[in-house]
Amino acid sequence: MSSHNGHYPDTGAAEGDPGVQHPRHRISELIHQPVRFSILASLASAETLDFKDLRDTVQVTDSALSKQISTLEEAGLVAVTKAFVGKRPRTSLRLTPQGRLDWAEHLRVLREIAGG
Amino acid sequence: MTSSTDTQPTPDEARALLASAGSYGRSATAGAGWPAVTFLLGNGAASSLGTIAMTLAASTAGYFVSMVAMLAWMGVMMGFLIAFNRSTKVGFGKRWTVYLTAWLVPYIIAMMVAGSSDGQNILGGSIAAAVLLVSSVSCAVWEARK
Repeated sequence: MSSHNGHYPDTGAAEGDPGVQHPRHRISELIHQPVRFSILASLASAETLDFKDLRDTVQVTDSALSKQISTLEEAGLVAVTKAFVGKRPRTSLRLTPQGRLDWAEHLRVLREIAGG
Repeated sequence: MTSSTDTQPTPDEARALLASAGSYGRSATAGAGWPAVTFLLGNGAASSLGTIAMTLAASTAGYFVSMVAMLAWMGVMMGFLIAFNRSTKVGFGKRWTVYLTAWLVPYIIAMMVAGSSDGQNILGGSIAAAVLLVSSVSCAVWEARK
C-alpha cells in the first residue's frame, strides 16, 4: 500500500481506464480507520498534544488509544515523547512532517470525493 | 450512509468526515492556550510592577527587596507554565519565541533604567513599565485569539 507519498496507494490509472482513477481508490487505509482518523485530526491542529487531552477528545480507553498511537508511530506519522514533570509522567504526541503531508493528502482526497 | 467498503467513502461520508476532522481539531486544542496566556499576563504584571518598585527604591536594600519579589513571582509563573502547559496549538513554538523576545528586550531596558534610577528617574521607569505592560498584554491577547 505504501508509495512514494507516505502511506498512500499508488496513483496510477485504474485497470481498464488509463489516466483516470476515482479518488476513493487513493484513500489511505491506515488513516481512514476511525480512531486513527480522529487522532490525526486532533493532532493536525496542535503542535503537541498531551496523551490525556487526546484521550478526552477522541473518547477511547487508554489501551485502545495506545494501540492506535503505536500503529501510527510505527508508520512514521506520529512522534511520541515521554517525560517527567516532577514525579508525574507526561506523554506528548505530535504529527511528524510525513504525518502532516499524509493528513493533508487524505483531506484532499476526501474533498475530491465529497465534490462528487 | 453506506459505502461499498470501509475504505471507500461515499460523497456524503466524505463530507461528514471532513466536518468531523475540523471538529476534532477545535476540540483537542480548545483549552490549550490558557497556561501560556496566564504566564504572559502574570509575567508581564510582575516585571512591570517590579520595574516601578525598583525605580522608586531609594536604597540598595529597597532595590533588592523589590527585585527578589519580582523574581519570585516570575519564578511562580514559570513553574505554573511548566506544570500545566501540556498541549499547544499549531505554530506555538514560533509564536513563543516572538513573545519572549517582545518581553525580554523591554525588560532588559527596564532593568537598566531601574538600576541607574536611584529613586529619581520616575518618568523613565514609568515608561519602561508601560512598555512591558503593553508588550505582555498584546502577546497574551494574540495567543488567546489563536
